[in-house]
Amino acid sequence: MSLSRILRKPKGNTCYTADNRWVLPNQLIGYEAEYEGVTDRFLPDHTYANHFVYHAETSLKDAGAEFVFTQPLFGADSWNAIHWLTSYAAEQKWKCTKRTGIHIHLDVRDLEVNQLTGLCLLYAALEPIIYRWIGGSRETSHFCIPLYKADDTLLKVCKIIRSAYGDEKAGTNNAVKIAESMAEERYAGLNPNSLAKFGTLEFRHLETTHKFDRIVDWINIIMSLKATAYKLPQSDGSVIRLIEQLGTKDLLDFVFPGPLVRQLYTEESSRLIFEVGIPSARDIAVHGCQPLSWEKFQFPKGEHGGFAKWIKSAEGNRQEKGKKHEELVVFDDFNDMDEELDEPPIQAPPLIEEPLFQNAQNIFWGNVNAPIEQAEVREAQAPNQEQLARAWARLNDMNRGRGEARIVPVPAPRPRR
Amino acid sequence: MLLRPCDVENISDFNRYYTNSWVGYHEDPDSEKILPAFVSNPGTGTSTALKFLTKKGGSWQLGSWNMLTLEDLEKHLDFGRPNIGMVDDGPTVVFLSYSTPRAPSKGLRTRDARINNFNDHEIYRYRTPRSSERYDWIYHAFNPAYLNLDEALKQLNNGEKIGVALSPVLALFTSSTSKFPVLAYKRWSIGYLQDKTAILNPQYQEYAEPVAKQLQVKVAV
Repeated sequence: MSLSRILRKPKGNTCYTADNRWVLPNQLIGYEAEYEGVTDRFLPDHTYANHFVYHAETSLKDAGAEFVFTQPLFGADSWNAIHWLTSYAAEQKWKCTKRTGIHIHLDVRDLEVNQLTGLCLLYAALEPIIYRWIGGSRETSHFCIPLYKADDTLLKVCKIIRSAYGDEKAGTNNAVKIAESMAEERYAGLNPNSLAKFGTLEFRHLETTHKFDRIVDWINIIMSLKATAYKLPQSDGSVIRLIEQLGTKDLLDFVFPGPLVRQLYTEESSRLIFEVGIPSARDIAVHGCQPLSWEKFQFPKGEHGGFAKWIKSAEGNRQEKGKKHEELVVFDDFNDMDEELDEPPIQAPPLIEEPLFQNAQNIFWGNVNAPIEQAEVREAQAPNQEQLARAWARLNDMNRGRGEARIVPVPAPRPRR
Repeated sequence: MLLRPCDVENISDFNRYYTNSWVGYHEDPDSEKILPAFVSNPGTGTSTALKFLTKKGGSWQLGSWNMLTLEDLEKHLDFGRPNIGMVDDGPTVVFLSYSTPRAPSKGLRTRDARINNFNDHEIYRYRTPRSSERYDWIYHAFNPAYLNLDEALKQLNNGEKIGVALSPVLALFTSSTSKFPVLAYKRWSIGYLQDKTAILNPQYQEYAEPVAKQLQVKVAV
């Protein structure tokens, strides 16, 4: 093992040479490749192997692993490093499955806010045909969701762009804060969270493959978007009009080099761009490119007739429901219970007239919810038989189902000394 | 109808990623009609168990378990998540949208969707309570139904409804603060409709073209 590996200091293995095989020969990129079935995660001692570092990847199965550039590379260095890793993976028979993907980080630190907007607008418009080129089940994968399917994330992208315009004027860093806040929402095909982390846009679309040409094509597609962002005249709604004026074929010719156009263009391209892509781009133009205006747009004052009718009918239904509900409410006194049972109502209590119930202190309910055995009726003075019978009857009637009432004679008070 | 392709390698992956989610099941793969199916039971080593959502006598019902193999799923299932947007919510309409969280599951999960409502605050006394799994939303998400403009205006003016979906991104709703039906594009109230003319807030003039194209009305900004 080389000393550089032991010291964890990479050797001087970069040549810093532009490479015309890339659309942008000097473009810095980051590269992450996931594989499964990686039995030995230690890469051999090789010049290009030192460009990669191993990361554990818990979302994968079967000894999944991720190999990531140790630093952003461009030109010949990125070409050689990616070529070496792809060949080595195929040689080692590492598995490319539906779970594994290749993520490309495109350095955008050299762009101006206008150009970043142009790049996002262009990407949004072309996103559906990009997914069509990617193929497989990546469009439905929950690790690279398209913006046209994740309206909420699209809105966050708009916020980042709008904040970046504000930051440009005021010298604040709100765009970074919003990008940082997307750490838990970074599973979009275009992940803007990496703007805060590395100053890059992460493209998570591609399924891992052993075909080096396909990886090169993918990176060139991404670089083409950035190259076009440099040459767009303005970055707002006018980009959408430009796309509409150019038409599908000319637009693809304007953005991508010839061989890629042939791969990207299908019979469905036009429909995908105009029906799926442009609506997303339009949202970015409306909510990202123009500042929030507080101009007063007045809705005509007054209540809509249909709405008033609906509320009236809903209120009627509610009251009717309420009445039914009131009829079914729990009885809160004994009189209601008697009415419900269709029995003759109990007469008004003869408490005042009768000596047995003359004073409140004569009646003691230990616990009204407890069986009547616990209740005591204290007898202040001996009632006559008729009064006693009526009292019994009333008590039993009032406490139907709770047990029988009984009268406890109160002992005679002790004489005072 | 073109079904989205299978995005799992085997049945155990399906059970792992789709449990507790809703998926679209095509009994007849050529038909447009989709039966929402709930994946809840982890199934066995060779099959998975789905429950189908049906409407019986005005109420939604989840049927009993149906055991299906991966072959059945590949034939009948629309993998991934359905495209959501404007969805009927009783008398009105809501806009549902996805985010991109690190989700352990695939398929539709309405509790993960963001809900935007339009005249909800005015009818809170009368509407159906919100819950995480509203069967009517789920059914409409898989089987979206949109009204044409004339039918929509008729229902709104009669007081039959106070919000209707016109397309996945366009809706009309009525309220106590606007004399004319308000036009909603996704989550935003972008203008109103008066005598078959859409009057848009200048801020939303970019939406003039899709509104004119979809509703076949004049648009003024």
